[in-house]
Amino acid sequence: MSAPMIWVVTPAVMAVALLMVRRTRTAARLGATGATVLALLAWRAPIDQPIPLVGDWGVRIAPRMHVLGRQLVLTDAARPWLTWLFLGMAVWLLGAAVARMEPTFVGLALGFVTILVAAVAIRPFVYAALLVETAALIAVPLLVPPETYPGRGVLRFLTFQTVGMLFILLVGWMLVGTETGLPGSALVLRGEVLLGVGFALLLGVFPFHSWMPMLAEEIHPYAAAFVLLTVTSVVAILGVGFLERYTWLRQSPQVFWGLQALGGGMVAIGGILAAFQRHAGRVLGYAVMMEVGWSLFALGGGGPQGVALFFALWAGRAVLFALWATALSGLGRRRDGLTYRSLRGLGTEFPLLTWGAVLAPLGLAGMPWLGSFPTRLALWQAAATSGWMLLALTVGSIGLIASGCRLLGALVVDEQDRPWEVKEHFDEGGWMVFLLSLAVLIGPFPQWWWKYAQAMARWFPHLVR
Amino acid sequence: MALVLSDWPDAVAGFLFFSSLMVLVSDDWRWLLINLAAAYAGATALVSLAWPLPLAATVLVGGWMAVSVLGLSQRRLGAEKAGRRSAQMLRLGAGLVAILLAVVFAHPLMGWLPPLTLSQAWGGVALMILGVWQVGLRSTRPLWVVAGLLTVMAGFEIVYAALEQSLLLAGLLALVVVALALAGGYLLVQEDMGKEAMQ
Repeated sequence: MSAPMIWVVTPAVMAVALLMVRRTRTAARLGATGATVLALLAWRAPIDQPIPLVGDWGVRIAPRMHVLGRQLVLTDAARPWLTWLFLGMAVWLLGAAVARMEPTFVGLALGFVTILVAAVAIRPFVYAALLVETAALIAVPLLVPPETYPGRGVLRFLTFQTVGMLFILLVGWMLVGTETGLPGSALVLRGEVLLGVGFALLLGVFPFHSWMPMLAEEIHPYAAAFVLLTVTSVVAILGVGFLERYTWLRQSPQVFWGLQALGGGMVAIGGILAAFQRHAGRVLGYAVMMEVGWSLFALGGGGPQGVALFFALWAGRAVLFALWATALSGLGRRRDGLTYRSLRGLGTEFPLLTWGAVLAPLGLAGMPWLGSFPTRLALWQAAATSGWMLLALTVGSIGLIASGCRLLGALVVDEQDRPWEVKEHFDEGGWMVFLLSLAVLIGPFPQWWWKYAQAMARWFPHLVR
Repeated sequence: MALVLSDWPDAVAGFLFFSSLMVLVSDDWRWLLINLAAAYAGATALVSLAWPLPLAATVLVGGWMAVSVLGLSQRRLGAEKAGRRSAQMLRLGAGLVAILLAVVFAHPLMGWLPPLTLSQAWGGVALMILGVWQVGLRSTRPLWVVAGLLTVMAGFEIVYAALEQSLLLAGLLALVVVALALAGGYLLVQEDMGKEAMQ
């Protein structure tokens, strides 16, 4: 038995099987159970070490699996990441029933994540670009379920992922054999530029970010949030892998400075643009763009703290975006769309969904006691050494807070004076309370999950040295 | 005669440029797909300069399968309205600019990626630029965007074939091309169903 067999092949088979299930609720429960089991296995079962079972009998999970002459490698250091990934996946899959997604969502979502895990695990890494593209192609039916009109956002998403893949393939060829040796300065420059453009396209880095708000505006907010978050988070890990692999890249101070500047800029621009939107879905798209910015800024800090912060962002992100997307799904279903005009006055009838839709952006902006506050605080402290960086991060956060306040205004202010009621369905209300509690719990107690972020950072030993 | 035979890659590069220009200019989906299929045939010829013919055939098979998938999806939808003449002229002008850009970029690319020959660099770059033009100038319909992306992929495959000779990579690239067309076919059908639902 090998680790890729457990965390790549098994979920892939599960994904195909789940496509046959015709009820979202059943598929969501089965998918979430499977993902939880995989998370528990990643938490408890060490890789490449004997695991005693009964008496002298035991098993050993091999870290490698050979596929067509290539390898899928998941070492013991990848376990904390796998645990978090599949735990987050379980939450999102369970929420699919509450968000009233199509039954195929669960299978496609699991398949999509599985391919991205394979992209992280594959060696030589050049094949990762092809797997990311495959995941993007699988995401198409996820983003455009049957009988919905495909907008320009999906086409742009496909375009950016395809062109980004080509850049990474080319860089993969150019940089063969330069892992430890310093190549010539022209090659370094060319490699850095091509790598930068490739990842900028894949991650939606400014100015290649237009597909994010477009996609979030046109399609179901739950599917949009899921795909945008997963693609950007996992592709960012591939980027960290590049930094880990190439000595000359991780020893270049300009690279880290550039990451911080780009990250700070994205947070500021995303926040400013979010504040001026009139569509709640577009705000969500800009918030994902800001998350990419926060990740780049954290990574740009360098050292063990920078990489640990990069991973620490995942906890608050997964919970708050799940909360936000579920709330917007519920609100959007009650009215035709997510423009502020169409949502007017809905807050008095659906207060729990309103709480979710408003608190999530506030939490992502760094509101105290909510999920992302500890990581935002740490990043603000890191930015305090440069006035410009701190200003950029603050402007971004203020912009997102402003967009949350505008949404709150749109939801509760109405010409008619309606009495407050709770009209959410039981499962919706319960799920919102669960996610809100989770968002409030992970904020004040970072000591519970910080050690796991540090453990994830140890997956990249050269970077954290 | 020997001189003519030895110059065939340049002639293929020229043919490639012409067929991709027609992909960009065509309003009729049939002509668009016929020209795309021709572009894949030309791309295969240039790929065969670096790869053995059986391996190069993966490009042709993948490309033509992609064209078939798009054709079958579009056929179900029937004819489209003809575009405006001025838009067609604009695309033709933009396509001709691609010649200049391909000439400008081909030589530096040969310096950066030494195994490339001039005809491969020229053909590959021209295809990629025309594909990007197509995606940028006709970004509203899945058929046009996917045809543009397939043109970019064909150009990239010409360049990449000179650099990398992995059988698995060739197969995976062909698979991505077909999967891209399948996604495009799905979007085409959804576009039609969405239109019906709106009516």
